[in-house]
Amino acid sequence: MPKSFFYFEEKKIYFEQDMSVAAALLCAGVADFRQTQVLHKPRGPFCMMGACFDCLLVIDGMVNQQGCMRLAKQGIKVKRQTSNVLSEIN
Amino acid sequence: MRVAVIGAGPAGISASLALVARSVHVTMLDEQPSAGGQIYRNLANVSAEQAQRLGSDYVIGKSLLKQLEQAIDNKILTSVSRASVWSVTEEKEVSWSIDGRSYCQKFDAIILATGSIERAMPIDGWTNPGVITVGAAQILIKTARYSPPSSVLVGSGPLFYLVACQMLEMGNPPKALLETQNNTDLLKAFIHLRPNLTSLLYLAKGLVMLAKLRFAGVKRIKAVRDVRIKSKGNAHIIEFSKVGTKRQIEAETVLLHAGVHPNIQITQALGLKHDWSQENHCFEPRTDKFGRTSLKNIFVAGDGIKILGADAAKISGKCAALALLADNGFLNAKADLSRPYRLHQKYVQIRKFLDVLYAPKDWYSCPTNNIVICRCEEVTAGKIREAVKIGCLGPNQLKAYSRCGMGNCQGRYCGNIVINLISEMVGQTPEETGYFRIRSPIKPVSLAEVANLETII
Amino acid sequence: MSDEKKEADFAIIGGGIVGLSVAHGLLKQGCSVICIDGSDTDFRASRGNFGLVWVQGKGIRTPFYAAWTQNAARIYPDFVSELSQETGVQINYNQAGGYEYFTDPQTLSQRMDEYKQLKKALNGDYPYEFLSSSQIRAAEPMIGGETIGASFYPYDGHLNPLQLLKALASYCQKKGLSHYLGEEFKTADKKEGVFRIVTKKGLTISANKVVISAGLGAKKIGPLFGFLGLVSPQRGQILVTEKISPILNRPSVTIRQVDEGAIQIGDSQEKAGFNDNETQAQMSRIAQNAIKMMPKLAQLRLVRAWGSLRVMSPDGLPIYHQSHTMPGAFLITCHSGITLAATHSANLSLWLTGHKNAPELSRFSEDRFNA
Repeated sequence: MPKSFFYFEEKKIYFEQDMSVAAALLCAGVADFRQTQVLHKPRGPFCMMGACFDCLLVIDGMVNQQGCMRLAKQGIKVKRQTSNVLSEIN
Repeated sequence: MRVAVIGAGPAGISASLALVARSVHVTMLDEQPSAGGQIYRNLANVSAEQAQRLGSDYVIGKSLLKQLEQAIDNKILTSVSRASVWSVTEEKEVSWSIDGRSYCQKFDAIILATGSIERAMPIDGWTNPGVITVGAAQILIKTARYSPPSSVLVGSGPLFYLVACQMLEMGNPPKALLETQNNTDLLKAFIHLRPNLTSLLYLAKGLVMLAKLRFAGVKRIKAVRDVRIKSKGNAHIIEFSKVGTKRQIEAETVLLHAGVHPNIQITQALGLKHDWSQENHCFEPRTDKFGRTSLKNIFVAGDGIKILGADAAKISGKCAALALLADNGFLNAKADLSRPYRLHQKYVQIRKFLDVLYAPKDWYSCPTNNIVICRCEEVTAGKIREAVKIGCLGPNQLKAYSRCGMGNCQGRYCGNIVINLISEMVGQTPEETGYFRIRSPIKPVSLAEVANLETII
Repeated sequence: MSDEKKEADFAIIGGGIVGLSVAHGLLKQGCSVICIDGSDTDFRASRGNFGLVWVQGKGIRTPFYAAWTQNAARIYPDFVSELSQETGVQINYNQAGGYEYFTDPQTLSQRMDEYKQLKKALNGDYPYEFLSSSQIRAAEPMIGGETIGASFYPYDGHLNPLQLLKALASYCQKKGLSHYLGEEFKTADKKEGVFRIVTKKGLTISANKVVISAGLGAKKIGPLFGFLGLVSPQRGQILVTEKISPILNRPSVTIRQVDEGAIQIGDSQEKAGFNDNETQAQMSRIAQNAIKMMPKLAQLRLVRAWGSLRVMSPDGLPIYHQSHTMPGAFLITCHSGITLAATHSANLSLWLTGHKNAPELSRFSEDRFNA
């Protein structure tokens, strides 16, 4: 069976079953998930259990998604969240 | 009678099992993809070999999960995974969200078993990517079979050594352990030790872990302080001082741990009474021996009351369930609830020892002005001290003046540090300082979901 | 905590927005002022409010109150800019006018009549407008659903109320306010023309005049000074969404976009005693109403909700009253502490000092409840 993957800004990130998006990214050496809103500093996962809200990502166009609480799924499109990225209303 | 159990860790599962054994229907809600809590995280899905690797305290959860599975199969227990509970009211209405839909159900009783979270360790660089908690590393091991390479652990506590050993078993030993406790702490802790069998077994386990680490050649540096992390991408330089001399070490991942404390988000939101624990330096919900709170038919169980570990949590879950049953006429009025309670008390002795040995250190729990305390709103200790100067006597006025604690995590991580800073400056006790007023939603939820709550009857 | 005096011209009981606005004005007049303030967990309308500086809809049947409010809004820009300059606190006041949206034709036409009459009563000085359904949609693209029109009033606006509170506290302290925090009022008496106030922790202060601006606390404290203290709580609940890029140009009476980007929604008026919890039912109702008015808000995530208690007099109007039995004691209470802050500082403080330019405030006295 071919390995599943999702996209992280053009890059394919392979993952195994039961992995969250955040875990898959950390396994791939990606720790910088977003830029903070106040000081514009890089930030990544911290608690991995849904408590700290540091691992926020843009997933399939939706901002503020907790990477550690979303199971990785084949083909989803994941992006870093920049500090000026606010929710947009479509 | 319908009972909600919130949290599917050892306390929640054993509470649920004790209830269904008396034919009380239980809805068990948990935020993770599978039941087990953080201690038995993903245990249902990992191979026997991997489970073995992570130690007997992990494997032992299998039997609990098996019983849970049977109860689910027999349709006497509804287990809802990936459910973010975002509101629990005094009227015992529970609201939760799954995949963008929210549900609300009114229960006759609720057992809160939401476990613990790791204490914040605000040091210079703790917000850098690649600096995660020791608990987070354990979740990576359990769910992704991934042990971060070239890691340095900073802090102390039982979980600290357990995860170091698990990394070892994963074939990826930590580069070093920078331990914050010193020999004086050890001496003080031994003075507090009133050994019973449970604590001796616990100590023996600890010694085995230390021996394993030693045998594997993992470097342990004790009595470190003033730790700073300078990061460039995935390369971190950890600077620290030991007995006055400055040293440094490099790492690819830095793992922090300063112990754990009860996760009091829901108990605070319910407005339950809490007391400051001098031993564990945190607020704990006020309960009776069996987990009864000041609100009728709302109970707390496990580490959510007081940190005593998974084995104690199982008994505590059972205690809460029995109390619930007794209060609602499902048990003989003369039923003896004292046995599980006595069992539970066995775990208190060793905890006193651990609390003294691994007490949080002032140099990080009351940090210098440049350190970011509130990770969400990026508020420094300096800003907090400034706000106290112009009139914040408590965390709620502080929230108004500085936005500290107002972000997504709602003070889960900065809460205790804020209490330390305010109490120190104003010269009052943590109890006088008080805690953040927690409001729903405890987890963010869409406006559409709130507007169109699906009520379950 | 600047200059810890225990004797002053004025003692203010209650250091919320109302108390500190008055302190601000008194200090500018050169008075010495002490303020005592309670605990972190007191009911604090100053911390839970919506952040509007708002004129329309107020005083429809009481033109003198509409005029008082209108004047407050007109002098607001100067009040805020001076405060910001002196303290460096960004209050983010934006006075570009505001709306009230209507979904029901009858309510709309009634409001049109009311404003016409109010304008007449105010000798033409009430510059409102009405916007048609298409005009309001052009002005606020988020509007959809059932909105059929809106009223517009040019001096309406909004600000960050928490920053206003912080700025007032820091301004007053800088200008010599003795600010005693965590000091709950216990007793008071008046001897030889001097008020003596004792707190629960045993602090004693004395002053020639006393101002009670203790919000709901006036119910208990007021009678000790000979006031009726007729205030009662009215709960309001507010929802706050995640931060988003600017989508609302102007605030409305129930929905606004705050300076940091979040959408704040609040329109409940409940009798719930002294319970300031947020409730499931109201949160749902508020969310439903907001979506009715602006359907696209549905996709936004709610990050916070809270309940807070408004301080209501029997007729909803402010109470400004000097005690008949203990002259020199003043009761000040209102549920529009943010809106009236500028005039409380500039004008109400003149009334407190007996200045020749003091406004005539007899219609706001407690005597109206004695009839």
